[in-house]
Amino acid sequence: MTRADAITGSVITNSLSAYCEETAEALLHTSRNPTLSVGHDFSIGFTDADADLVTGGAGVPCHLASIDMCVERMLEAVGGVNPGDVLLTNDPYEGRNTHLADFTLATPVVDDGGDPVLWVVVRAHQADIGAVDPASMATTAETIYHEGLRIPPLKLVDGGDRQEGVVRLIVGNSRLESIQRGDLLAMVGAARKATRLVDELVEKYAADTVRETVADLLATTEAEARAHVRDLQDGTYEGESWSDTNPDTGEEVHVRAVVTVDGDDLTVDFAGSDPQVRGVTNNSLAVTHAAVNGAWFSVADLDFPLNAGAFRMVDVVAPEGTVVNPEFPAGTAYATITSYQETVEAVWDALAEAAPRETPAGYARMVRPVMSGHDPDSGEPYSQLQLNVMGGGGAIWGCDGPQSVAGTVGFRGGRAIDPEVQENLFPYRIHGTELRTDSGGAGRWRGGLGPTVSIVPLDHEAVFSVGGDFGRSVRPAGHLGGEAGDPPSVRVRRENGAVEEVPHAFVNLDIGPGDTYVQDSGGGGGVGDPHDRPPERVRRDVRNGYVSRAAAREEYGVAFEPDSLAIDRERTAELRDGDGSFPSSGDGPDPSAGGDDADPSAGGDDADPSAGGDGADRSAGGDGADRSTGGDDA
Amino acid sequence: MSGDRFTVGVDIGGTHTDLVVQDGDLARFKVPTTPDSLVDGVLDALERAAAHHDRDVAAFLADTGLVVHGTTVTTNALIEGEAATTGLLTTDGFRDVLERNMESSSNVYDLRREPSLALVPRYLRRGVPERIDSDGTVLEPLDVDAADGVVDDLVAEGASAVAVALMSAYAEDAHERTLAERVAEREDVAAVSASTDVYRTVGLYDRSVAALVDASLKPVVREYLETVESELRAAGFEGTLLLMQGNGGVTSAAVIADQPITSVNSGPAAGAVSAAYHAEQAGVSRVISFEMGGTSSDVCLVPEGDPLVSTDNLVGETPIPVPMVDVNTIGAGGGSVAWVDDRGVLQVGPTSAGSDPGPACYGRGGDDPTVTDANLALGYLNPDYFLGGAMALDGEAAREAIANGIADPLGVSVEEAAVGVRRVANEDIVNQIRQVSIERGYDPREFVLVAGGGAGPVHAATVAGRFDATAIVPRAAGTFSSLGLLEADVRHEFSRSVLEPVSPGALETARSRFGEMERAARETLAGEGADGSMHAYQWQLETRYDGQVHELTIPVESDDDAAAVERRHHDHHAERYDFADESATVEAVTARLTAYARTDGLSEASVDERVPAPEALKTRRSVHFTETEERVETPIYDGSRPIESIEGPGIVEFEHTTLPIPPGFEARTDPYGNYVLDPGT
Repeated sequence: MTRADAITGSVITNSLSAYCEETAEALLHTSRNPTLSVGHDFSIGFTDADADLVTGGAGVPCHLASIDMCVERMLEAVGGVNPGDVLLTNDPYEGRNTHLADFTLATPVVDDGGDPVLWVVVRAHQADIGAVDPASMATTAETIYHEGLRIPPLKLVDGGDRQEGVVRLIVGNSRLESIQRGDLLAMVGAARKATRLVDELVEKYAADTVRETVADLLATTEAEARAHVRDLQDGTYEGESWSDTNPDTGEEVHVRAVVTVDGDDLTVDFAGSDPQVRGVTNNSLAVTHAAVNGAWFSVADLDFPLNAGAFRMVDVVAPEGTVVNPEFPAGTAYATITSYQETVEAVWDALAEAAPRETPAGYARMVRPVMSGHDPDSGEPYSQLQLNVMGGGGAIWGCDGPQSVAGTVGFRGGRAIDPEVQENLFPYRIHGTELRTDSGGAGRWRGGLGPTVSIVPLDHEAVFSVGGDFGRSVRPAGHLGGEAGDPPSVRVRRENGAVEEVPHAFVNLDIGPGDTYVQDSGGGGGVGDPHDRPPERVRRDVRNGYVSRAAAREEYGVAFEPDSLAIDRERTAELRDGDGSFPSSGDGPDPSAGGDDADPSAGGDDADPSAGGDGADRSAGGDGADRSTGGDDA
Repeated sequence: MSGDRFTVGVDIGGTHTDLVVQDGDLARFKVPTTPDSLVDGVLDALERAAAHHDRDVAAFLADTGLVVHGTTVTTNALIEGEAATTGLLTTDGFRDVLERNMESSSNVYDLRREPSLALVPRYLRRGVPERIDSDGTVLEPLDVDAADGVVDDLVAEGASAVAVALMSAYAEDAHERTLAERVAEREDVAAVSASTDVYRTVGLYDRSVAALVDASLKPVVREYLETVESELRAAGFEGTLLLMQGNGGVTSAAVIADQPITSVNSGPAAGAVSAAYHAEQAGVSRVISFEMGGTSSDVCLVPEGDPLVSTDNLVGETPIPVPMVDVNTIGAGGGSVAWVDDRGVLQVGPTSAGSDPGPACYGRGGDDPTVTDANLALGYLNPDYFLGGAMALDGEAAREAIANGIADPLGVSVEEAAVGVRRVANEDIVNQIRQVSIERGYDPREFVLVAGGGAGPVHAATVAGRFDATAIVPRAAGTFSSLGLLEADVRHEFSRSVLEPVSPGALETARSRFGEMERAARETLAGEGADGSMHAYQWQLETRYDGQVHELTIPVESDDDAAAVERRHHDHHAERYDFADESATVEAVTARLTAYARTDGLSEASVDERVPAPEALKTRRSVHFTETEERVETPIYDGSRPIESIEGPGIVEFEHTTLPIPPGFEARTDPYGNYVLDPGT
């Protein structure tokens, strides 16, 4: 092998990333269900012939980080795959899929001999798959039999011929026939586009060169990821998180993770997690793996796109019959929200001991209503996952949390739907989408804010199916001395003025044309002692209405002159007990460096957050290792 | 009474101000840009032009009927953050749309990046009591007194300009209009823009951004235009002044002052028009314009003389959601830094060494290897004839940077590493070209690639060769963009929402919208003095399948029926996305009208003399062509006079760029002295 191959390899690797992004853009533009076309709830990836993820540039973490398992299952289950075939499954058991709501397509790119070189994988959330409740994530299902059409691995396209019988079967089970059909065609179109692009690449550079390139890529990624594991102190770290509401019993459901670091291997054992529940909040095994991989990958902070090499040293032990690996026919409709997020949090909670400054504070729990009814103008049924209610993200050492993101499902991703676009697509009116003051946890780095969104159905009776979790007993955790974020809450303001608080998730609410659905989405947790936040930065938050004057005083220890936002330095020093009111910049970047009006990103916040000597602190174990008590390490 | 013998195009770029004079033939002049007072550079260039035409500036300008001006003043104001501090007035409850509806982070796992910023901080975004329904009904009347107080607050917070963007204003703009008028009367606000005046479309986020950008540019642009106009008048100019726009057309200074967002990105737009002109000289109408400078590579498809426009644009980090020439930009320029990531994958850009310190070979202290360093190391560039010899390049520094940054981490030789940098950069450009052509249903073999910019010609043959396409390198790559100023038509974009499934009734609605827009367009064109006989109108519809939120733009004729429009949507969808869904409902979302007043454009005499290659031969040197994978002894030609034809390998050296002709390729000049390159058979 000549060394010039490193360059050919670079060209191939970069081209695969470009193809992935372009295919994602095509699906974004062609899909018919706003969860895809606005919410970007889909993923495009390429795997190698053995189903290991090679390129996953564009996608949702909870989809992509374990997409391998599903492809592998499809290849096992469907014998005799030929060029032009497109495989399909949505089954979380037989297909190792995420949940029924996601359809996963795989199609091969083959060499001259007909052997696969790569697989193109398209996974996307569906509009309506005929579950007991509208849209694709049933809230009141008890088992998977209530959650919609279950499709074992099969051929959707056979040698280039779309199997119209399969299409009719799927579309006929959907409340939204035209959109369901359109999205299926869009997914096949995206798969075809990606296949055409990769085909040309294989033709130009030869199949074996592409194979060698992706094998090298996975190997170097693995080596790099292992080096990160080696940097962690060997040991056993315990983490835990839970949801408020077992949909059946109303009790808490706990996920417990024991992370063992041994040299460059990482084991995550979920022994001790609660038994599976009757209802929709069990993880599929694929979701559990995605949660572990995503939590690890976000902490490892490798500076390149995710692929399977980053997870080869991660061993997941998920006891059968628990909420993280349920036995058939347990429901999994909400797996990607609950208990995915609880699983991510449990792993982060454990990793926070080993890598405190690399681990974020908690993210807002997701509460996502599905709105459904009949459009008063057309009489046609509609249903839609509400895309305007995301919450705040957790801060991390050196960086405030992001505002309004799609929880740990998307980490830093997720974009709210434009209110005008939303009102044009669906028969309801939006009364405001503003971020909620003080919803982000206080900290030297503040948690992201969540919005308050108010929605009124127009001229019809709608049903809002509220799923997710309020997390009231386990608010988005603060970290290293930071405060927890606000939990979400939901209420209905009836036409007669009465306000009904919604006590827990997994209920269907009847909302009439005079009623208003109001959701306060949650905020992310803060990191570091709020008294260490530079007063100028607090002042800017108050000026922007992210933090109230009262919270500035009570939580951040910053006081202002009575009639202005001039900082009362004397009072501030008193409130802060004379310590840490104007911290030196020796320990991490000073977030206020940009000055009050300046672009916060210009203020040197991009500086390496680990510059404060974190690597050295990590093994000392004294660095705020306990997330709940959060010792101040400044 | 002014004469109109001369027509002048003047383009102010970052380093040079280019001036072109049309007088039967074309004359071109280049002077340094004067950053402190941009108009001084224009006057310097005019002096050169006047002297060339044997008269003083006053006499020259007295004989000049038209000056077309291209300026980067708006683009620079955005990129360098020098636009006015602007406040946003929006509907109560919606001020965070600007913050919550931004594109997601591209790497969702990167938790350590500061959250992206909204265009303006939250304290400059305020709600006013009012609400209009999506069908245009007023649900809550505008409280003007409360609104006045809100504007007071914005001014107190430091805003000197105000943008107005209200919910559902695309359906009913009465509240926006009232607010804009009230703000315009205030002495403490310098400028105001209403979203529906800037771009009328569904999407509060897009309209808010458009209004904010527009309002923030007004004070800057007005001051600039007043200076340019008064200096030109003072110097004796009595003719018409037109300005280049980002949509590839020109317009009056008054229109730009009123809607400065349209002048953003006018530089790349002029480049695309210029590319179309050069292709036409070679008898080709389908063009891919490729400009590669120090920091980026800009690619744009020009299907039949007019560049494609898009509303999905980004300038620096600022979204510009109004119609602009659809330029695909990537960070692959001559100064782009090559690096090896943690996986051992070689990458080029997007970081650029810029011009200071610049590539390692500039010898100004840069030690990152760049594309220019690779081109120098491989022999493409002449260290003693860069910028016509004005700057010596340090080959040793280039090789050392490549050794440290690429060769050592990859374990390859410096030569192999340099080849790698060039190949990766070329592939990035090939991907750009593929994206604007094949992926939109255009076959690049039916197009010519017109290469401009200092680095474009250096890569032209290789990237065009990947598609078996012909490449054209204009004779004067140095004044490439400024020619576009004189070639461009007067052009305006209008839009109105339709929002109905395609049906005879919907088309009737669309036709009446087109009628309204044509009347408005005619008025605008008349205000610019354009002769009615030169007016032309193009109708387009943005269409989508029911439920989609992204649209295709398809051409429509006044007598199209619903079936024809649906058919066209299906065909375009299949071309662009590999499938169509003929069972789905097609919606007409937006009616778009482009209004043109055709101008005379450029005319150029053919060159008098083209020399045979041997007469232009300067020397020979060894060049490592990526096509042959080895060094070959290569003839080097002096490009100051057009050369009849050259068989590769060969390199033509111009003052501002270098044209390699790889082995197997053939180059000839057309009657205007432009080089036309074809891959051999």
